[in-house]
Amino acid sequence: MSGTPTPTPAPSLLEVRELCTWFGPDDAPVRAVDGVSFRLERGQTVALVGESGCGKSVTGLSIMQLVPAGGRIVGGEVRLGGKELIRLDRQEMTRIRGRRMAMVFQEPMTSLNPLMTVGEQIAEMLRRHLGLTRGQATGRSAELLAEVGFPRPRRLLGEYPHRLSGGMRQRVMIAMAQSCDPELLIADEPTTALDVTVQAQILELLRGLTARADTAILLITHDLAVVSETADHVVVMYAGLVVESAPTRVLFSRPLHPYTQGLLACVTSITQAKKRLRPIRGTVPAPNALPTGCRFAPRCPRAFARCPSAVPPLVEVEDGHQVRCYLHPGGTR
Amino acid sequence: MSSTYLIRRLFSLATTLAVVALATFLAFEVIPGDPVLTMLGPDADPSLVAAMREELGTDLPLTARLANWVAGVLTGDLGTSIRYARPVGSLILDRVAVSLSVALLAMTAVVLVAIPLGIALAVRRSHWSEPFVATIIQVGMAIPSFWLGIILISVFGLSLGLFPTGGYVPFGAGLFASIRSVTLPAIAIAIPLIAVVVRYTRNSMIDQFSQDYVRTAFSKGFPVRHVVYRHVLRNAALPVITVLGMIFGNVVVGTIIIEQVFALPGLGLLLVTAVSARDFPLIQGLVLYITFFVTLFNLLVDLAYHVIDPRVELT
Repeated sequence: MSGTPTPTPAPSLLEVRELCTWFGPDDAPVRAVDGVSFRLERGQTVALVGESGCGKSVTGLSIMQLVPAGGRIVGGEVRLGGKELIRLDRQEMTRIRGRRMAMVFQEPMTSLNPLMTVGEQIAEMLRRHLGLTRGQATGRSAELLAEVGFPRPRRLLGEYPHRLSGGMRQRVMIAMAQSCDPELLIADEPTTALDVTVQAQILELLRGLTARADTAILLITHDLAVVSETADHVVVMYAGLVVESAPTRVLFSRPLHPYTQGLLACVTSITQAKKRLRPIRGTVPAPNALPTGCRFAPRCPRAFARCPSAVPPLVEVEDGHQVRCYLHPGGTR
Repeated sequence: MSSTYLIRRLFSLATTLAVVALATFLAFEVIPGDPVLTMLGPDADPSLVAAMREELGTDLPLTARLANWVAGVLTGDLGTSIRYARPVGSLILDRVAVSLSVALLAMTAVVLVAIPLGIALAVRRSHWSEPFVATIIQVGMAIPSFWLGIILISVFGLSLGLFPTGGYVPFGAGLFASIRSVTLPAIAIAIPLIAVVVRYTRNSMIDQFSQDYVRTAFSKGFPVRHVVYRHVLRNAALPVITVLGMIFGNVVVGTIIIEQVFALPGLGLLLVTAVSARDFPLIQGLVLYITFFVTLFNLLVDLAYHVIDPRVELT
């Protein structure tokens, strides 16, 4: 599967354009997401990568129209199959959430309702969105649990989440998210809270989902190893902005933005065991005290006179590879 | 729920009763006051006092009196009241109907009004309404119920004549009249309690709204109503049930001031009379009754916890 957008007239499955989600007071907003654009095709997996606080989770929640209290979408577009979501009313949105796009969260320990059985939590979705009867929903719930690898799904239906391990709960979350066969699955750090061995199982499960059900996945993560194994395309975010976007293989072999290069230099690899890890110096700027110009410039080893002047534009340097850096103005260098 | 758990809890209930009874017994041993002198006056004939003491058994040593009392309780005999010269058991039973009907009516009002109101105030929370809600709740909690009682009497009893201004009509004299006679006192008790329970319900709901599972429920495409009633409500119920249990335990044993205001022959007034007359058997009987109800409600709250929350193990 290729990361380049297909040149068909049909609209992309998900198109995010100039999305802005701000928090706090209007006169001094915290610009968590500050003009993010990317697209996602059917069956594709796109990874949204960046350090904590870069706005990747808020981007995911904004797509779901579930921005936490205190935040608001102040501009941009989110189109699902060509349909604008931001201006939909609450009722219309409830028919899309869970049905056409679903979400898996980072914290499997707290993301399930502790007082409802696993079966009830899956079945309530099937009954609401697909109109199944109680009996049908129970049967289908067991099938879904079997699909995510539970050997005795019937027995699991009556269990409460506190009796399950983190990995099991995350599998329940995935079974729940895919229950109505959504076109888009947003997975926000789905493996971060899990053991390494369990992480691999969960990733395998997500990969199977795209292969079998043609579900597109927006994978939000800070883990580049996960990205290289799962994603077709990578969008790198820094301080609320997309700084680089490229097909996975291109990004890992020819990263153009100094921030992406820095991120990749932080990753350990068995084949390069002797190489020293090079951390990126400095820290992420606070979103209410952003530097003028390129937001990465204060930490950038290759910054030059032009960087603090204005935020550089996101330019296409080659097919499907975009970067926001003055070192690559219009792809000339 | 295992039967060994219930047996253990009932055993602990009995132990609590025994400890409280003993403590009351000893307390009235230490504090001054004598039922016979209270009755006959300080200038009474000493031989008369001695005769009366012998008749009532108050001249016996502490251990003997305690033994007598315990033996009586175990056979279902709470002894005879000194002040009223009647069996303590029937004396309490007469009053229980009064206190219990006031309590049940008040608690019904609290549950039916406070819980829906608390939920609504949590769901429809907004920045501008917040201070008003907080203030109204504060005022509600701070209103003394005796003052409320007096206002209710003057408005609904005297001016409008809808309810009697005082006194109790027993069930036997007609259910409707009986309920009417306890309506105003029940309202006077209920209003401050409604404020307390509204506050707990609302805060508990708001607390739950910020939990991860609520975000999950919304991500599954449920409308607010489904999320509130199917997901949040049960999770928010535990602290509310604890408060309701404590409140019920308090209300059911009688409220002295309200009984005074409405001239109700309830348990609260009986207790005051018993203590000032140093009517030991009656005091002991009332203390047993009160302790029993309070511990019973604690047990019920614990059982409710287990029913609601599968994580709560009964061990």
